[in-house]
Amino acid sequence: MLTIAQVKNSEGVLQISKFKSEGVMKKIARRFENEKVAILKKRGCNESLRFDSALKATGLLELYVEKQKVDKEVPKEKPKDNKK
Amino acid sequence: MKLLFTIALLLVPFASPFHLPPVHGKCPPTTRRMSSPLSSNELIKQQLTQKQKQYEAARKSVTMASNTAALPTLESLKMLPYLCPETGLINPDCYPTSSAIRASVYGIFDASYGLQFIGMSRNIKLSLRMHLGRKPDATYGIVVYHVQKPSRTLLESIKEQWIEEVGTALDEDVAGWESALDVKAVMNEKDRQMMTDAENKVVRSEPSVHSVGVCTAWVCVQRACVYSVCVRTACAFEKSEPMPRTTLQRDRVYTACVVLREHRPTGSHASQTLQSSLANHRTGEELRGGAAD
Repeated sequence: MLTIAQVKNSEGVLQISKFKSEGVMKKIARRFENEKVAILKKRGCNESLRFDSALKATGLLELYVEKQKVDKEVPKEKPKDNKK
Repeated sequence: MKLLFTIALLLVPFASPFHLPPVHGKCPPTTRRMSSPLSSNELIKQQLTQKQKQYEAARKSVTMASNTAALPTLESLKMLPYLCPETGLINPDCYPTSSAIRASVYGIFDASYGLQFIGMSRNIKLSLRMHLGRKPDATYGIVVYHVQKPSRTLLESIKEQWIEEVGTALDEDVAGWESALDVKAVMNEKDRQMMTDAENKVVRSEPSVHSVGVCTAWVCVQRACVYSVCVRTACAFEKSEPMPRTTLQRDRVYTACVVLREHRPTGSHASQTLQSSLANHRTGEELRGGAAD
């Protein structure tokens, strides 16, 4: 059986506190995001501007960039024999 | 004839230039023989490097001359609106028209048509989008020059020329144009207070830990909702190792150390059930006795 102190120091509790502060950080970042979006809407911007949610949690405000897919598939077929 | 031949044979070892050196004699001066080809090799190398340098210098001067001759001025380029007034999207006229274009230099102007930022990019479409997101109040006009050869020296020389041409200073916040906004740096006092509160939440809620959850509580698997809360947050069982939910058996009593924080809303069914179960909790031994009964 774990003691109360052990439980308090366990990873679960730490994760919760981290989760909490991340949530607050996101909330603050979202306020800055809304300011930017309001300016752009006022200008009549129709660009789809999606801010990166994961970055917001770390305290950065940046547009989401879709990662380019890299073709990592290994060819299953045998290579054609050009000699024949 | 025979005599002559024998005399010749006898004389050959002394007269021949190919005779072997004496085994115990002095070694021939190899250093002198080796030094001459080495020095010639070095000489050739030196000459080659000199020639290469001369060639590179000549080539550089030629390219620089051609570059400076072809450098576009800001006046010669047409300023385009950043956002297309009809569609509301980023002006598609800024984008390269052919696939041969490898890089672009662009200058961004604010609402009063003052040059704010000069950037270089291989993917102007993406860069312009990012700049719009970073500085929505300073992106009104744009001047673009596309380059087919992605040479950094060429791009930088264009940039320098544009800066000289404008004369006025650009926006000092270069990091604001080139990287993401750091919210921590711009947040106000109220936000900072909120952050510190959130970080110290665990310490602050110490007294409530007992009342909410750290205790020897018995929780039946029938109350699955309670378990889901326990297991997700922090749950230490008798063997002091977390037990996955699937291994728990129905209608069996477990001595558990439960920590429940505001993982779910306080008024939710799960938290209410746990609260009620904790309210009438008993010690582990009592429970075991009760279970045996």
